[in-house]
Amino acid sequence: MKRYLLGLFDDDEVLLKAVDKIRAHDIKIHDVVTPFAVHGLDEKLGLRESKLHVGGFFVGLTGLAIAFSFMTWVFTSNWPIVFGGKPHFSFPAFIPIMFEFTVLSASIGMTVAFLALCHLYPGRFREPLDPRTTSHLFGMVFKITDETTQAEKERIAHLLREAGAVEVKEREMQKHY
Amino acid sequence: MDEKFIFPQRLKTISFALMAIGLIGTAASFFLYSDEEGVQRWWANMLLNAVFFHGISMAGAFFLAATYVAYNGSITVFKRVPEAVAGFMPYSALLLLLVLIFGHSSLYEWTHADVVESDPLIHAKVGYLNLPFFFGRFAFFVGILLLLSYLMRKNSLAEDQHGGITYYKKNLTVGSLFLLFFAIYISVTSWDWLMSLDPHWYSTMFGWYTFASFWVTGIAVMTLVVVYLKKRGYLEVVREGHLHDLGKLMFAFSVFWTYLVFCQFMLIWYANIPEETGYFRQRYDHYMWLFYTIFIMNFIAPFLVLMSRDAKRKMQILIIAACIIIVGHFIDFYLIVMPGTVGNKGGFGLPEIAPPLFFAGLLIFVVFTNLTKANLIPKNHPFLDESLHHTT
Amino acid sequence: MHAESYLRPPLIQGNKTYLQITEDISRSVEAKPSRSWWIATTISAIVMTWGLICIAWTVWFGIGTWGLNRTIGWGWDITNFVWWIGIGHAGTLISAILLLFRQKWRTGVNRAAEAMTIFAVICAALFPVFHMGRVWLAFYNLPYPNTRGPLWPNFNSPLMWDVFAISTYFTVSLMFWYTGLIPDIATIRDRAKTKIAKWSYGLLSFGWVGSAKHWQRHEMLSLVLAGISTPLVLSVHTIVSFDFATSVIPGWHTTIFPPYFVAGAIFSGFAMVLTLMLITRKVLNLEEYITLDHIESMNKIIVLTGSIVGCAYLTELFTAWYSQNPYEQYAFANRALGPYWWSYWGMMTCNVISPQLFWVRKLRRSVWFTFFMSIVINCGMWFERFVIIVTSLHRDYVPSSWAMYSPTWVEISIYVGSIGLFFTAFLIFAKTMPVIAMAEIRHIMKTSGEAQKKAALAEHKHHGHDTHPLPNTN
Repeated sequence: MKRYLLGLFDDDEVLLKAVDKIRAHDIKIHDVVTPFAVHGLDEKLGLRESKLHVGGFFVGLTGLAIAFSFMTWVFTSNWPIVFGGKPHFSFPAFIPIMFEFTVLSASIGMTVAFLALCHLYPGRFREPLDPRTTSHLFGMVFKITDETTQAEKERIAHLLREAGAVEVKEREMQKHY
Repeated sequence: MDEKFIFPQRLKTISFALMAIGLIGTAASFFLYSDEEGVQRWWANMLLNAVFFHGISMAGAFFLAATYVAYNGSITVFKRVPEAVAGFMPYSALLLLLVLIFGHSSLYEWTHADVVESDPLIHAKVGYLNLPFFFGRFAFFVGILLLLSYLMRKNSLAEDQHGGITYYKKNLTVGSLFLLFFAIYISVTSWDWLMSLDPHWYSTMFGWYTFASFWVTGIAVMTLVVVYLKKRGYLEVVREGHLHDLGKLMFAFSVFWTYLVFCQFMLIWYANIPEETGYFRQRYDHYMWLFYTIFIMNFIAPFLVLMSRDAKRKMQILIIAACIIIVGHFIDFYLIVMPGTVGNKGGFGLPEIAPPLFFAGLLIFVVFTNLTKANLIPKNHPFLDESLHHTT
Repeated sequence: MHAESYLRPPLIQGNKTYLQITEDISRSVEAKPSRSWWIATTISAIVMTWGLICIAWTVWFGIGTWGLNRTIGWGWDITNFVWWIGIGHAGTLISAILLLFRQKWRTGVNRAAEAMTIFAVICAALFPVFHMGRVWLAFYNLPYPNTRGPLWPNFNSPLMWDVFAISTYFTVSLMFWYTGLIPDIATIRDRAKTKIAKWSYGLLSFGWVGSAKHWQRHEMLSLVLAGISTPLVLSVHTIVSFDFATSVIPGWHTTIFPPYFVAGAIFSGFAMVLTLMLITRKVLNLEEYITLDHIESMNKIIVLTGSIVGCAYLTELFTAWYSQNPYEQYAFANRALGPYWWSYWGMMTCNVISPQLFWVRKLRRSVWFTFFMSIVINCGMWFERFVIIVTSLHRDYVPSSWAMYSPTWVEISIYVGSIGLFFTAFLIFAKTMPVIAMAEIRHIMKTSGEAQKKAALAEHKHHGHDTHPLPNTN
């Protein structure tokens, strides 16, 4: 059994201010669940910048190299055939496939990386902490361990309410959230 | 929001020096290279520069029109810069007109009666390639675009005075008309001024290709002006987000230019029809280094330099990219003009170096003078607030 | 905070809250299918089935059941292929290019347009695949080590480029569409009442809960996918145009083909988006999310791309004369005055002349007129492909090979069937998935919602900015 404390907000601007307030009190926010991408939230939570695009770039580069070297190998050494009087190494005619394959590799690479990093896959059933957080409420999540005292919980709840939370509740989850 | 630009004395001196050196060099080269080949080369350079700098000024006006029509809300803070660049149009158009009036017989084969008589292909095209119609098209298209860009500037200044959204709406109409005429202008004039240098050759994409070159060079010039103003302490409201947009435009349209160049080249290379391949054959055989240089300078360099988000937000990097692009596209036009006029004898010397100095000096002088004429920030523009808050 | 100009019309009408947005958009998924939905889906499915039967007929009896002959080897099949691929361009254009250009109105229509892209590409792929004849050997197109030499496919052939371009486009569009859909599926999952709905949407949502880190990666993914989809969209129709332009056939070999095909594709794609969205907004009561301003913006893109296409037609005509190449000149004279003159003039009327009516603001904002025009444009773009393909082919270099072409009932049925397939797929999508990207609509609510905009404007007035409505912020 995992236990969480959840503060629910109904406005993204209030939420952003609340994040600052809570963090100012040196309380660790486990996660914030939102119904859409709230801009600036990642910075306020101190999340590192996503490096997804760097990965995409290198996968794309690999795809480019594969496409180029494969076609070159096929037409210059493995099975050289003259097509329409063009030289065996007819580079301009390679460009379309090189481009397409680069794009294909980069996007597959990035999408797979995204799904893998976020542990998203078909068949992963997750119960939300509160079903309204994918619709219209913004949830700030705190971990509760056995060491967490009642006073501490109350302090967080109080701070949350003060910062504009419309609801504060505790949840027990079967699986790790 | 009141910000007046004062033309720095140093820049003014530089622009005058450039103009003076350029003018002396140009005049000197006219006398130094006075044989028939030299005269042709001199005029070819004049055409090259006149068209190139004319394109930059057109890009300024196009930038304004396009952003009006697209309801762009991010560029508004530095909107005076494209306006100032567009203000170079009358000068560049006049210079181009002079070059065409006095140089046409050195430049265009089809203006010679004996060539027209002996060449059946050119003879058949006489209905289009004749001087009265040629200058008529110039007057019509450049005239209309000059008028429309003048109106855009006038409305913009009136908006500063009186506020309200009437001037904005007027400019919306003027902008759409501008775009409409620009599309025909760029097709027709690129055939006239550049494609007809090789009167046998034809490519339906030529207008697009010229447009892409004009446009990306124009953006690079505007970026340089914006960065210069910022470095001098003006336009503090222009932030990284706005620079990012300019960087993105340079990046995107460098790729777009490459796309067009590649498509044009590849289709002609692939089909291998002699009438068409001649154009590239000549350029590839006799100007191979430049042929590859333009790909490196106009595609690979800006692509790698401007790829990352951080790079597009740094002034130093934008300066480097913009300079590469401007020089690269100048070489691109060199490669269009020279083989069509002086054949395989395109050179590099005083006639090539001096005129761009003069034109650049004049461009700097006119653009920065224009900037002094109005408040640097269009304070009553309805998208100003949005533009000031533009971040990403 | 992002301050939006007061000039921009609201993109969400009415006094909406985040909850209201969720409810409005999920309603169409959660409610029982209406009678009109059943009727429409049944008709589409019948038409689709008839098309599939005719495809089976073609496979069984061979390509001889089509009206093709030795001169005209490409007829309705490739015409339909290019037509569908063109339609498939709007989706990724709206989501990718408009995202990069920060056109916020895209949020109302991007989801449906992307879905449309995917279905249109599927419809398109049918035609070249079954045109192969021995369709069971279609895998010969793929480069894999084989026992035939190894004999590789010809990577120098534009048809091979097409295989790569279209499969890449399909894959990337699918990933772009689906990753965007995941958060919205999660919304539906969390609202689901029945066990079966909870389970199936739970399966499809991949376990999304909307963590901050996940959203951050999601944003990055969408942005980069948008960035690389932009040249991809251009490349796909460019490569389709290469199928024609790399040849030496007059009317096909011309350098303007790549950008002109792309403009035409966007043109027809937007027309089809309008056809679908005008029906969808009416049937699903989404007028507050797909407003007249959305329609007007799309009509503006139509007039822009239509004019580009018109400019390209005229450039081609002019260059045919200017080239002084007799074959080129004949090809164009034949288009306008030859036996297929009707398709040329149909194309000119529908694509060049009629979209110019959209310069009139009143017509741009008229739902009925827009709907009518969207159909006209779709017809016009079909004519265009017919003109390019059949008219250019039917007069060969050797007059003894001159021929005429008309489709057989099989070809017509397959075409109609592909439209049935398209609508069946779209109707099922509209019933089972949110047709509007909820998360993105929530994102723009504060800046572009009607109530929110009004409140912001009132604030301005309150501060006495009537004469100079812009506050001095810096």
